Amino acid sequence: MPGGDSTHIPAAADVVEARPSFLVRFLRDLVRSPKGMVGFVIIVILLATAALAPLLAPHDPTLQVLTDRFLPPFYAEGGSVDHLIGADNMGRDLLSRVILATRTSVTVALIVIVIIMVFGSAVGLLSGYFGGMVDSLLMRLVDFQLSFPFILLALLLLAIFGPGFSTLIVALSVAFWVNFARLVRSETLKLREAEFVQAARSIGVSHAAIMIKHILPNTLPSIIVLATLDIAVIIISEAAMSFLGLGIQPPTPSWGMMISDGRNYLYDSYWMVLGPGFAIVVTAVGINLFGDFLRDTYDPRQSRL
Amino acid sequence: MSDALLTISGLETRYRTSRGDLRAVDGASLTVRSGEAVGLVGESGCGKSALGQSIMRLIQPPGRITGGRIEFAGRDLLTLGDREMRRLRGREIAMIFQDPMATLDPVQRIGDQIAELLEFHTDLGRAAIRKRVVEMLEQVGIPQPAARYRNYPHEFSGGMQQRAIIAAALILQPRLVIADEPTTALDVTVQAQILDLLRRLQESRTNTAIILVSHDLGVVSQLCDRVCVMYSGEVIEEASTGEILADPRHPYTVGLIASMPRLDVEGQTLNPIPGSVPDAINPPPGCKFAPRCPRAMDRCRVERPVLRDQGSGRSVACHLYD
Amino acid sequence: MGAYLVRRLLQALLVIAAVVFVVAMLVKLVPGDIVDMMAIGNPAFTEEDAERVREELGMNRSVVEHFVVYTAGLFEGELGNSIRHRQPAATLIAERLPATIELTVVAMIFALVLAIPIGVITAIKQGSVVDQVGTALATLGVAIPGFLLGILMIMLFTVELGWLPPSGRSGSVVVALYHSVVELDPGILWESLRYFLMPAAALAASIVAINSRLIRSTMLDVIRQDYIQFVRAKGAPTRVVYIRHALRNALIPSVTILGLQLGFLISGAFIIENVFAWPGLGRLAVEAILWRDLPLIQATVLVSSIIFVALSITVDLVYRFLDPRIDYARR
Repeated sequence: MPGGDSTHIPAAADVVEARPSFLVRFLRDLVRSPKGMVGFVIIVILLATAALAPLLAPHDPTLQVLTDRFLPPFYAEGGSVDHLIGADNMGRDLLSRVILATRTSVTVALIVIVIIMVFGSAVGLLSGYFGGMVDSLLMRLVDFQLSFPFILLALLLLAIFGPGFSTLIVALSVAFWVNFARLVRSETLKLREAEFVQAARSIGVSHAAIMIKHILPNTLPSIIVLATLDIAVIIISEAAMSFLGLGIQPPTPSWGMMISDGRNYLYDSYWMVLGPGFAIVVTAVGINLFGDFLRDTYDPRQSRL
Repeated sequence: MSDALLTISGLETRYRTSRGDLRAVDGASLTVRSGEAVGLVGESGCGKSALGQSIMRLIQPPGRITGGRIEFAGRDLLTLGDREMRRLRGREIAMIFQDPMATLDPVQRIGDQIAELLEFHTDLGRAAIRKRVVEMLEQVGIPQPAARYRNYPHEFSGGMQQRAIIAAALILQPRLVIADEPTTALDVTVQAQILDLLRRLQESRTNTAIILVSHDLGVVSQLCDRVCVMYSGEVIEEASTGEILADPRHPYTVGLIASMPRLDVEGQTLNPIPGSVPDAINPPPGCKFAPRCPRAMDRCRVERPVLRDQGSGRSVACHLYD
Repeated sequence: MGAYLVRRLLQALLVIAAVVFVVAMLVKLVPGDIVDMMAIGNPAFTEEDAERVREELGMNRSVVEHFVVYTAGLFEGELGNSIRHRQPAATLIAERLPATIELTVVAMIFALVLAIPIGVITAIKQGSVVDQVGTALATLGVAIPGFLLGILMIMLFTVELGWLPPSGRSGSVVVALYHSVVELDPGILWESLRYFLMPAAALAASIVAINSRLIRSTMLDVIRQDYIQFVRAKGAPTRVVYIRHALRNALIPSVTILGLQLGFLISGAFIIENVFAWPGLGRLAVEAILWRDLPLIQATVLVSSIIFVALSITVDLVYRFLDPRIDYARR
């Protein structure tokens, strides 16, 4: 039986007319779902902004212009079109900072998601496939960590390494890897008993080959759905850490830190929090909408909770 | 009939689906006299349960009652206000459901679930309610009723649960009990006990009429004086139990009886009725049984027969007897 | 029940022992000399001070010896001394702890008080405008981080409307409730509660969003069950059908999830405290990190973990109370 598609037993209709390619099917499903479409567009904008941030930013995000301190947005009295959403307490252009902070958030989220996808899936796969003592111990750990307050783990790591980019990455990875381990383990448990896996085993395919070529590809839809929804949570958590001063450190701009700066000037310069706040909410809503669409379309079994 | 307790005429209950309205009950008519036991028989999906729930106006969306009349003790149930209808439920008309395991609220004590009836419909105090419930539990044959009062449903066996539900149904001495497949979910030996219990209770309360909904004519014949046969949302034949078994008239009833397994005949072959139940969303224009009927005539495919009195308390809806 | 409780407590002890171990080992895990780092920019910090701190922290002891000494200290209520505050960490925590617990519990109550009716109403009115508004708000509620919501609330209720104080805490709400009842003066309660409203609401928002959805979907499932039809057949008033029977059953999964959300809630409380300058453990912990006040970090993490474990057991017991089907003997 050929690789990962072996669970799919083609129906008669499929054989007669070739199935359209995955991309075509995906786009067709996407166009049919308003929710998925809105989310997709937001994600494309998000990624484009992150990729092209230095080109898109109208100003140097770290440039402090004394005369521009607390400059209001263009629509308010004293505002200027040159600084569309105003400037902060140090006279830095807010729009440029929001754009560069997008790059920061996306970078952190992508690094973390890759780490936990690889590590979590590997643990889940091995644990589910081989079972036994190690499995039950690991799952105890996973269950415990799922309910344990993330912030306490983060505090321990911060106490050891001090705040900074790498501590942030490690803390977020430690906090979220369990979701993947749990998901992949439960999928593996089901697939381990599937007929095509039994068949492969009976003709002497090695454990490693079964796991990588037969089981893993079949868990991919669930992994992708979880990864999408988790990215929103990671971005929010990163913003929260940076808001506390425990995440991204200056001078790198981040949404959380910008909101923290703005927190001190709410009475007079409310706009300092509006730009980054808007960016976080739109990002999270967009990713959640797209994730919901993916889940509803490709992985209806996986419930959100 | 002057002593009719319940008169249903031309009742229609429909469920909205994506393909159109599903006619669960489609012009059914039925009469129940005070104190009698009537069997309502038919295959699954013939609308017999929906008919039972319609009488209590318990049809939930997307279902609704779209036509006909239900007259109970001189009142028109379909025009009764919600409040009056609530006062009737449990007190004058009670219901026994099919699956006792699913009928009892899993997180409430058995006794409390029975006590609710007295709470809703009487002014009795807590102690009096409790006493009455314990008495009732004893009457339906639950040992150590006072202790069992505090049990949760999962601590009861299926038969015990059904006894408790029967206790709830009868505690206010309703004038009508609708028993919807009360034995189907139970073990065979327990089935017999429950039927026996129902019979004893019915005999001791001459005022309580019972509608026994069942797919099993055998079960019905043990308890009921009269039988109504339902097919595809309609009552198509009505007669005394003896007459139905000895001399069925409607070809569907004939087929139904022929398909009954008989304990007294060895090596018999079961004769299921060929064909399947008609589409309840787009039913055929004439008699709904015509496509399966061995004696169908041209007329049967265009004109729907109505339930006609054949004299001596028998009625049939079939052109063969016009 | 008793056996179950014993087992659960043993598990909890094991978890706490693990936390104690990790926390105790912190001093060994920090790369470089933590005491030198703390001395930077603090001219009053002499070499003798440094030596004393090293001794206190157990940096001169072996791993095993340190763990034993540290654990023994805990049994005497010894949580170390804050370097920055020059006070026992236990004293600082005792001052701050009630504020955090009250905030968390008030938020939890907010979450339940709001999520239950929203879930029930959107379920009963499935597909209506109310339901659709609920869906939209839930989507938004999950996407807005609590700290941002808190700031937006300050902008509205403090800056724009001037109704609520932007930060701080005016004593214990429990004490205020007591005085309010004794002196028959609701004003006393309000004076304390008005400080709670925004932080607790910001903390509760995403939980409300998630749980109201959960209650909605379980309610929809429950009201289709036979046992609800049976309750209707008994002539129950609508209120009894939905509250006593449907909601009681629908709550079970929500309480289960509440147990899992407890950790999330505590994390949230630590963050929200920093938005509203709430004098609780969260602020203490963040300050301790920024000052690299290691003993204080150890103490806050340890105490918070113990509180978390205690609260989890409580939620667990509530769940078992709600669902009589759980067999204690077999778990």
